[in-house]
Amino acid sequence: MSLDEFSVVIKAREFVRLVNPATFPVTVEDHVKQAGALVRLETDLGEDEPGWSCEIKGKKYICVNVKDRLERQRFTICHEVAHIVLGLPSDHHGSSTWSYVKKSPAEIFCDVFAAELLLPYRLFRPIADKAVIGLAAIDDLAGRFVASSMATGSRFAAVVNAPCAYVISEQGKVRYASRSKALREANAWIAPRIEMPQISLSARVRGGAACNGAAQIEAGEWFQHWERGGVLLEEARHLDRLDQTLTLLWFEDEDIPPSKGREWEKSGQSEEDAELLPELDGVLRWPGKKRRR
Amino acid sequence: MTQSALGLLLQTLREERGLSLREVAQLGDIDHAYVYRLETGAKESPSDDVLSKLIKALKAGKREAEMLRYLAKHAETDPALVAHVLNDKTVPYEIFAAAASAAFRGNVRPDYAKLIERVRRIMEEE
Repeated sequence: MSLDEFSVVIKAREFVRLVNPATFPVTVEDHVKQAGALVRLETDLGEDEPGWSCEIKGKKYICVNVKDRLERQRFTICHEVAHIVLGLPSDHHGSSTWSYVKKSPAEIFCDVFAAELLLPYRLFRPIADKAVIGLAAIDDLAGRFVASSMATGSRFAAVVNAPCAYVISEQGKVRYASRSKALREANAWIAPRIEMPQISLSARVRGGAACNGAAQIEAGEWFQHWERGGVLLEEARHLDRLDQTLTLLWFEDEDIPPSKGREWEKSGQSEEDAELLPELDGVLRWPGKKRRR
Repeated sequence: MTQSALGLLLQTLREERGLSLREVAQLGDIDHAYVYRLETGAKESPSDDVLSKLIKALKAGKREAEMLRYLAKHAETDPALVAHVLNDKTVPYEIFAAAASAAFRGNVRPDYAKLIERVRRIMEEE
């Protein structure tokens, strides 16, 4: 498969440009029309069958589970539009039971595409960026865009400037983490399949504790191999029925602690005084410039 | 190597006629090693010319010939769907092609009988 996530985003934004939604919530029927498909609301799909699509004699049909919540139906429609536009078939036997990381690339790409359609960058980002970070803001955006909290939270973390992450965990283990550009650039990595930190608010909420506002937690508790230190703010919500925990993490005052390898620069010490080697930047320090060709 | 849907259909049609690989190759004037590779899934997309020769050599019926042409262009098709359709002669080519094109959201897949029933209903209602 020659696609990657970046090219999927580009294709989705090209598609959104053609539909050109002016307001939100976006009208998913416009996306369906642009894809040359028809939507059928189906009553006989099971609880775990949000929808499917097929082509019959050149006509494309998107079948949606009418028993699902409206937000889920809208995402399903956009997901199936992605299958049609990207020309991606489904795996024959589905993916593993719970792990997002084991989800097939085609399904992940269609989810990425769907999020771009439902929460268009041009309409969503300006509002998300102005919001006061917190689960309440995500709930508010989800309501305004008629999208699920999960889709909105993931998108929120992906597009805002603030250093934040939205983590979806199942059965106490991280399933997927969406990180803002600032966190990605700082290598703040939340590994899939790890247990939620025991001392985290998320773990406590899963255990039945109430979430009364944001709690503080050492950044290293959530981020793998994190040496910058710093304290994160954390909000969490647990969905008992699915044993699913939704977590929002962010640095207060929107500042990521500097990399320890560069502390000598800030302190005004010379490199020698600090007895630290300069961070590798790909520029050879030897031989001297004069001897280099 | 996993057998492809095309390979499964070719092998089934050949065995139904009681032909060896060499005999099919001779009848179709095709390299028998290539036919073997198509059957085992090592090769997936034969040219229209080769496909026409195979269809003629195997004396494939209209439905099976259309399925072969579809599978030559859709290598990702599930062999299990082909096996199901071969066992159920009431499934016409159009329904097979629609079922083969199905894409799903989520992990749950209907079994092939249910999928074909759903496609049939759409065809009847639309």
